[in-house]
Amino acid sequence: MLSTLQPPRSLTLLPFRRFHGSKTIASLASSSPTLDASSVSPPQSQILTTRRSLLSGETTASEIAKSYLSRIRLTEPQLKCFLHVSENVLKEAQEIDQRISRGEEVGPLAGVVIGVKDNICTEGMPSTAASRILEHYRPPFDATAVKKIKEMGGIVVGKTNMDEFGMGSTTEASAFQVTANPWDLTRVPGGSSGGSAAAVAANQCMVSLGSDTGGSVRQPASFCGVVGLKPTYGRVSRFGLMAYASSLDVIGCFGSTVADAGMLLHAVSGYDRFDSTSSKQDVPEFESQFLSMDSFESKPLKGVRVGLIRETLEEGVDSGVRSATQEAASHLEALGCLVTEVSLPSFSLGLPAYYVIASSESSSNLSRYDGVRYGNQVMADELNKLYDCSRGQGFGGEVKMRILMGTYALSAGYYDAYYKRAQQVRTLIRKDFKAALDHNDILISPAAPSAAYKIGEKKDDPLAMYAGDIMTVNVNLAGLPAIVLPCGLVEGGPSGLPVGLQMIGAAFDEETLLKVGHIFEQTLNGSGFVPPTLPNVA
Amino acid sequence: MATRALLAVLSASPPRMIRIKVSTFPSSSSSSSIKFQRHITIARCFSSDTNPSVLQPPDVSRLAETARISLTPSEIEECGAKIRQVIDWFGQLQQVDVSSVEPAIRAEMEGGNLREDAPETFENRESIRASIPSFDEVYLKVPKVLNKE
Amino acid sequence: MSTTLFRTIQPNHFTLLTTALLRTRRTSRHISVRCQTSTTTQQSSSQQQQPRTSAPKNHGSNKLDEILKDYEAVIGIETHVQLSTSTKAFCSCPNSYGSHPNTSICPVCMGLPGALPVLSSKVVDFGVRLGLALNCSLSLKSKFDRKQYFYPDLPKGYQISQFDVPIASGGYVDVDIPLEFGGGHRRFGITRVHMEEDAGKLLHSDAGDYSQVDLNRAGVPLLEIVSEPDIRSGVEAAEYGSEMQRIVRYLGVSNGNMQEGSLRCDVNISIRPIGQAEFGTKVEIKNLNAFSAMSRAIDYEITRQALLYNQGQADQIVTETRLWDEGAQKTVTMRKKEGLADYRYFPEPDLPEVILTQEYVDSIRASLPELPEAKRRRYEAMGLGIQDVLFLANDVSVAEYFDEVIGKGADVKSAANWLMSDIAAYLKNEELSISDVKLTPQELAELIAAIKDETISGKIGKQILFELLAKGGTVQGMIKEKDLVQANN
Repeated sequence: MLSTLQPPRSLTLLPFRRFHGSKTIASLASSSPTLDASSVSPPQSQILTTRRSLLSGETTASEIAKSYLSRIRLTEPQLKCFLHVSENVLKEAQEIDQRISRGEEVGPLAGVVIGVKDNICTEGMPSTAASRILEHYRPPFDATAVKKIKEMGGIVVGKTNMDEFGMGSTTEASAFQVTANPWDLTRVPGGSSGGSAAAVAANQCMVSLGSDTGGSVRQPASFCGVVGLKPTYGRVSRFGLMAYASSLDVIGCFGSTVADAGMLLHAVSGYDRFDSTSSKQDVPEFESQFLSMDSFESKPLKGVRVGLIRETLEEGVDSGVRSATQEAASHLEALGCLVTEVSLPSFSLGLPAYYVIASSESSSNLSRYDGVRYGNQVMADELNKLYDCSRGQGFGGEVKMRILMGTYALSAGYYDAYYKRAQQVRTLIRKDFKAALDHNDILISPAAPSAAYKIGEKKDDPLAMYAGDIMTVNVNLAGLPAIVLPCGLVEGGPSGLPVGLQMIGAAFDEETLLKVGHIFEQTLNGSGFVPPTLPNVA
Repeated sequence: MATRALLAVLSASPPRMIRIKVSTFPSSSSSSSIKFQRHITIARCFSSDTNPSVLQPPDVSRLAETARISLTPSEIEECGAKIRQVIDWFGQLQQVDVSSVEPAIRAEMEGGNLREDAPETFENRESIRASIPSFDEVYLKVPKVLNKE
Repeated sequence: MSTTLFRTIQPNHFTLLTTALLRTRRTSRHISVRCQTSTTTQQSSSQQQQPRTSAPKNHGSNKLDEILKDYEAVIGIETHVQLSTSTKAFCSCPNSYGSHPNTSICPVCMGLPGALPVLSSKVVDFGVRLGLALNCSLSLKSKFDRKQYFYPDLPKGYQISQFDVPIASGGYVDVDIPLEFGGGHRRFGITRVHMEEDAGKLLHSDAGDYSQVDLNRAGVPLLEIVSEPDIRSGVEAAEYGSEMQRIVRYLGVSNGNMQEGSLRCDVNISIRPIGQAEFGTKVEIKNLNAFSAMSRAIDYEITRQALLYNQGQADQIVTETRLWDEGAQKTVTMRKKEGLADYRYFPEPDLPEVILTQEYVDSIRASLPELPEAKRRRYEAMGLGIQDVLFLANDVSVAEYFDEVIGKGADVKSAANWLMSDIAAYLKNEELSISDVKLTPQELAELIAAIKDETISGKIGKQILFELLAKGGTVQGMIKEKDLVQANN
């Protein structure tokens, strides 16, 4: 258990180690882990803190909810993380307070303020996947993940911005607004779950749900300096997640700590009779992994075998990212891990294979948006005109492009050359990962080839944008779990830009990732990745 | 007859290509079937290797028609250039030797997860109906359609 | 061999002469309202009208006969069978015919964002049952695919179906051609049986300038049975269809009702000059809601195509879908197919593979009822004539009743006679089915025994029969009550 109680993460600027003008800022990891008290205390789980402070009567759910709502009010004009903020937050918080005052039991997420990506259905609350075609659409049911959160007392604070239907890496492809990176308002928060990542980074909510088809949780986590957890395919029900690429999509979790991301994952995991691709594998009690630093041995990760993926540090990766990753590897070594380099020969093939599969499946999954049963309809005197116009006006440019590419790849005569071939490459990638994970407990790599870039920088160059997904797509193709957590800063913005480390585990072994991730996080010298205070909030 | 049509379908878009689909799904192996499986033989009759050199570049207008998306002329131009660029880039997959590799539909998973045949009524049907843009008391309304395309 | 035989015995029934048409149409209307016994009704009624002559080769007026000297028709049938499950295929919505429009709906069958399909185990059960009944090999691992096209009755923009690995394939079905159509035994190949979902219903309002959609049927489970192109005539096609209907009813997988659309047949037909190896241009015929209509539509289409061949206009035969127009008794173009549709099939990622264990298949095989063909052969072996055999085996409840009666030791021929004559007439008059009558098989056996051992006369037996049919009771009780024992006892 974490040793200290702490109110919700301070809204003010926390001190953290500044870079000193060098081109690359070294990772915050020191070559030997500092297990004694450092100048900054390690980050604390907000879920555990909330639970304790509510049960001890130190604070109330209403007070917590109010502070988050006012934080949202203050920061939203700059950040634009939310597409919708719930009107029921205070009401739900009051209900929790009443239950506590009556001595009734409350769920493990009671009072936890949670952002939900807008492609995850929330009953009666707008759920648009940031698409014009679903503007004002309110689903008649909760996604299974949302249902579980609510049953455990979690409060859905609102729906977060994203690239339309998850198609993008910057959140610029939202039909409604562009979200800013809290570390530098001129930069993208990453995507497609950019709103969920930025909202956690800016402390607009404690944790959030995102979705990850090719890196949409992990890359924005890296860009925003938060923890992003992509579970094994099938670990979390996809029921209620608006499908982008069904064979790759997973619901993932954001938190400011590994513990928060892990506890949120635990809450939403498990077999669901409404998703026949969800797994019946047991969900372990992750919480026991989140030991406090006091209980760490001198080499807490002794014997853990870590494979550093060679192909992820080759050309095309920013030098700052590369050195931060290498520093992180050294830090793991210092914690007792056995770090070796591993090679995944099929690595570079993953990117085109991913884009073939994702666009093919999306071309099919988005056929249902035809303006007939829900969403925006452009009435016409002829059926095909109704379809053409409803879809033509309802979808944004990137979505149209991917639907057309997918339509092409699935066409007669092209299927074998594209879709089937991509599925065969998927088999190769799976085999390579399996071989690497036979000899290693986890694999590590950067989460993205660079830190957050400028808004608009890659908007018109699809291939440049796609190249940014190279670190993450293979993991989706193999269906494996992965966690991204901040490991350093590079130059950029007013106070540096965070860099994320990706740890990849064997299927259904989120436990090892959370254990290693938690210890890594808690022992990182000078940890505490809090973005600079927003200009007008100081 | 129908199988023949299924296995070698003339393409509507892009033009003049024959779709050839070889049954390489794992279950095609004779060990997993009880008796001789007729469809494999049929599939083989029509199979041949796809020759990448005959792949035509995308015709964006036709694709848009197939996908039921109206595009403005400028969109066709802009989108078309990008799509061709990406499809060219997809071309690198043609260089990979995958001759003996089974395609993977998704991550490995246990099969089954079937449902009992027990009816349940979805309670919130009123909300579903309320979302229908053109609803005529009991029916969804669409422009007059005569024949299925 | 039976094909040749068949070709020479074409009764007037199939000519396009007006008189024959009128007669046929009358027959067909009669059949269409009494679907349960369509085939046998057709047999008996046409038999009455047209007793088979010993010289079946008739006059030049038989156009079709002439045509079939020079041309061979190649026919394959796709049969869609709506399954009688309690729920839809991929969601738990009630599968109930005739509900108020758009009430049996949920996020899954409405194709709402985020909804996912979950397959009902019953659909697999039924698929395996039908596959085994059609002598198919089963795929122990089959999968679903998406067939993509846009249409308002298709909520997701794709139909979940099975493409390259159907649950069952490579089977056959045996049928008996009724005597009046030449008789004989025919075997037709079954290419495949696959699971899929139905689309909703599109209604075309006459008044308004719009169409209406009812999605109650969207997602209802179907089995599609594809035959090999082994069928050569309308009669064979009708007999093939009837056998499918009997089989699904015997198995209890569907009510097989054509009027409700629970059993739908689409016909693919081409003709080619006899001796030509390659197939002619294939035409599809839809909208066939009775087997008699199917038979007539096919024969019309054979004639139409042959005429075009004979006039040197074979190029006028194009790949198209034609509709059977019952009023005009002809097929009309519904739509031309410009190239074949590209459905962009790909494996359905939302559904795991369907995995069958050998144990499961064996248990289903063991639970299969006796099927129509086996019943017919058994009845035949009992010494019943083919007319009786076809009548008794046609309706599963009649067959079961008959089996119970003879199970009680009743004389086989007497039991068949009672069922086919007096009881059949009673059912027809009262518009009842065998399961509605009060007479138990036990008592029918008693009645037959009482007549046989001359406890009562045949005449008195008939009297008792009608009372028992209407009111129930026992033969012994009736005899005692009415003191009906024959005098000589």
